[in-house]
Amino acid sequence: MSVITISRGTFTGGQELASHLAKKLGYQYMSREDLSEQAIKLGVPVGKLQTSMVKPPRVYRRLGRERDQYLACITMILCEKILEGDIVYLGHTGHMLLPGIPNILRIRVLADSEFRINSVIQRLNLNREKAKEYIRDVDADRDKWVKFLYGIDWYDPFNYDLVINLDQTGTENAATALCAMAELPDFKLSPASVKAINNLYLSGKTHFALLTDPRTSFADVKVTANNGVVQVTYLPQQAEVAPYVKEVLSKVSGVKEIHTTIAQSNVLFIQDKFSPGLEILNSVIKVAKKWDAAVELMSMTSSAAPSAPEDSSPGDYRRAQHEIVTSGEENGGIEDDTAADVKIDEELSKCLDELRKRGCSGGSSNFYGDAENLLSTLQRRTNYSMVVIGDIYTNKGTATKTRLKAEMKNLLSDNLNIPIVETSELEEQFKFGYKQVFKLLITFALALAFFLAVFTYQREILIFLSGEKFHHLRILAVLFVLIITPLFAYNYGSSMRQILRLFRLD
Amino acid sequence: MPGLENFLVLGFNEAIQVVLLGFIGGVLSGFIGSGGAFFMTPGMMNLGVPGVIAVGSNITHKFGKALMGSRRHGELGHVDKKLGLFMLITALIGIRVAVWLNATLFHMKGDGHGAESGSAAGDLYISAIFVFVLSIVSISILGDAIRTREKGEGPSTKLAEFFSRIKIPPMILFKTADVKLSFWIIAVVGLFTGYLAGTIGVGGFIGVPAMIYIFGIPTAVAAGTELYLAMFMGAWGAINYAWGGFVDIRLVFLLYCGSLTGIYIGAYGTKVVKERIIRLVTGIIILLCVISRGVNIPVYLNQLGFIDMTGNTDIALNTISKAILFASGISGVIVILYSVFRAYSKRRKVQEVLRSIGA
Repeated sequence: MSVITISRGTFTGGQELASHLAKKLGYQYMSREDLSEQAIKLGVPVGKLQTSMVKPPRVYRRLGRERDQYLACITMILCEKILEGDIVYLGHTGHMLLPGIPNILRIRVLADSEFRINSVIQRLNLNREKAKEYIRDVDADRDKWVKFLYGIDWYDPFNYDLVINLDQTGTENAATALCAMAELPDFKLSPASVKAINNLYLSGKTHFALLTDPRTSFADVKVTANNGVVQVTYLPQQAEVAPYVKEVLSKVSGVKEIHTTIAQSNVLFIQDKFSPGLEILNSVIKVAKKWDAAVELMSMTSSAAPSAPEDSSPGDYRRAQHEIVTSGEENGGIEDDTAADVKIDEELSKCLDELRKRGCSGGSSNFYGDAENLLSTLQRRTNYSMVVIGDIYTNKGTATKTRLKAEMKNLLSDNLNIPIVETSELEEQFKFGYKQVFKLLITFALALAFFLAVFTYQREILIFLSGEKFHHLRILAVLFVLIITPLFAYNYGSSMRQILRLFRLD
Repeated sequence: MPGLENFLVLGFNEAIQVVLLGFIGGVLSGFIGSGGAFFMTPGMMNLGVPGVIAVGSNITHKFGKALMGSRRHGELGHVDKKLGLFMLITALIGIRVAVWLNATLFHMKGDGHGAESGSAAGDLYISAIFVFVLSIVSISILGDAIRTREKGEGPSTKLAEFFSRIKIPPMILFKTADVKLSFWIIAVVGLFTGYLAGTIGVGGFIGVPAMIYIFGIPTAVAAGTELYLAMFMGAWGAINYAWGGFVDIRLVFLLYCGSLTGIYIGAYGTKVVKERIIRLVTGIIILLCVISRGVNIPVYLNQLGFIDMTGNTDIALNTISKAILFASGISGVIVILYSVFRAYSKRRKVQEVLRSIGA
């Protein structure tokens, strides 16, 4: 199964390329206009959202709920279409609707400005100045639209696998090249990706149902779905929505179980696999309880992340990932869950049950890809208060695992404005146990000893430091200040931090 | 060389006041992200600590804190060590010049009233620099808070573009900050940062904006590099002031007792108070600190014999100055603490709601 997304500026020839490519490959063709049309039929105020783009930012930023409704709706429609078969989608960064799903071929089409201006003059019968103005305005609106929906810069070439300038390449040549590229195994959806699309489809469908039902539409809900199990998280101040959530979702096809949790935000816990009785899960739950947050479990398929050899290109790396994920694809891309997969799912379900018992389940999700994919996935989701990185890359050697984890942590820390911690740091940073009590007592005792020493012998110390009597020992006075000051600061600061942590003021 | 008479006689009341200064400075420091010297230095001067000892003790206090903070930024990759080291070359010279000037002025005797302590010239000089620099800083912060910027709009790059056109060799590439700069521009900025850090202990207020607006580097890298730089500048400042016998270790300890508690509360405050309010509170507090220091300037002029004040005017002015300083600090801290405890109790209520519905 393949998904090709094409993004383009107005009058670049992207539309012709997309439809021609779909014909050549025998794929379905869908454009953003088709998606919008279906969304309008389902009651989404697409026109209101689009016209708001020409207004000042403060106007369209107020339309958060309409935006969520639109995104849930088009995600649902697009996923449904993908699940029907191979597709070429023409829209503004359409791949952003499928966050964290690898192996999508992402194309950006460009054309020389003269080519675009001449196209507008010919087709819209405008003069040259008007044509230039038209292109500038439409591109600016699309740029704003993409930023409003996904928060990314659509001009950034790093958002695409390939950028094609049609000015010299031409539609036919570009389509031929893309046909060959689409046949590469790197751009075939793996069974794991298909499963993720199924989950995305169900979460889009259930979220849309909640956002359109008048009894639940007002609530800020977060929805995740995994193998038919839907988890809905809502804010404590919107508790009245609770009885209606199950009522609304029970009518949605494909929903096997519905779970609800009240939480202000989510703590995301990422691990390769989750097993019942996982000790660190207790610490994560404690932190989440403290922050009135729900815990979302994200299973990361580390087997899909082999080490990249030093001399390999990023493409080789992706290919190697793909080979592992798609091994056994001879069955036509449809792969039954193996016994191991079933065991993993069962263990995950038990962990989720534990979270539900403790009243802080934020659902589960699967993630396939590297740290950059994870970042783009998380940037699209909101309301995370912390990310906990657990045991990931378990199939790696210790050194590689440490490096990859550190790289992921740094990438997320630099781009997400929330704490990113490893499980090893969790107890140290957020928990108050015997170890912390011991540390508090030791550091406080040391600080007190320094303090008492300085104030008991203050006169002698000041005479020594002033250099009046011990002029020849000045260097010792300087060393005394340089050593004693940070020592006192460290011990006193650490003990104060532990005390504030005890009162949950950290 | 100062004798023991230059050190404050520390009774219980004085000690509590220094701890309070440290606490207020710490809360403001955690809240604003600066060192808090703008509050603690004038506060100590109002308690009767000579300016040079107040600055020396403060810079030593700042050194210990910077040592702890820079590790965190280093882990996050926000430090351009190469840029920090290049700035450090001239910053150390700036600090040395500042300490020399402060020490020289400290030993100058005034001819006026009450100049027997010998610190009036130094106090006047420190106060004048303090008022001049922090007036500009507070007005910029207030202007920034009042001006509503579009979300996502970064700092102005006009100055950075202008300075990037100055290509006096040697040109140096800084990979973390992703800029190429003339050594001479770095040298001048480093010199001023060091000079101000050494004179009034507020180098960060100049270093960070200079790195953002003149060098054009990202805000996170500027803050991280400044903290890295502050560690060495603090150490060098502490060495210089300690060498001159101008560090009162008791004041440093008492300041820590307040500031290391306050800094965590202030930092918690940044999570629950809107950024615009943070800037407004910061700007107003710094402005009030400036006014407080400004009120004391005639006292030093009187001590030096430049003006003649009758009666108890100098005592009255010192009391007014102290009152403004403490009023600004305490009211700022109340605003922050109120927000912190409101958020804290709100969280407790939410937890109770969750428990009551059995979630």
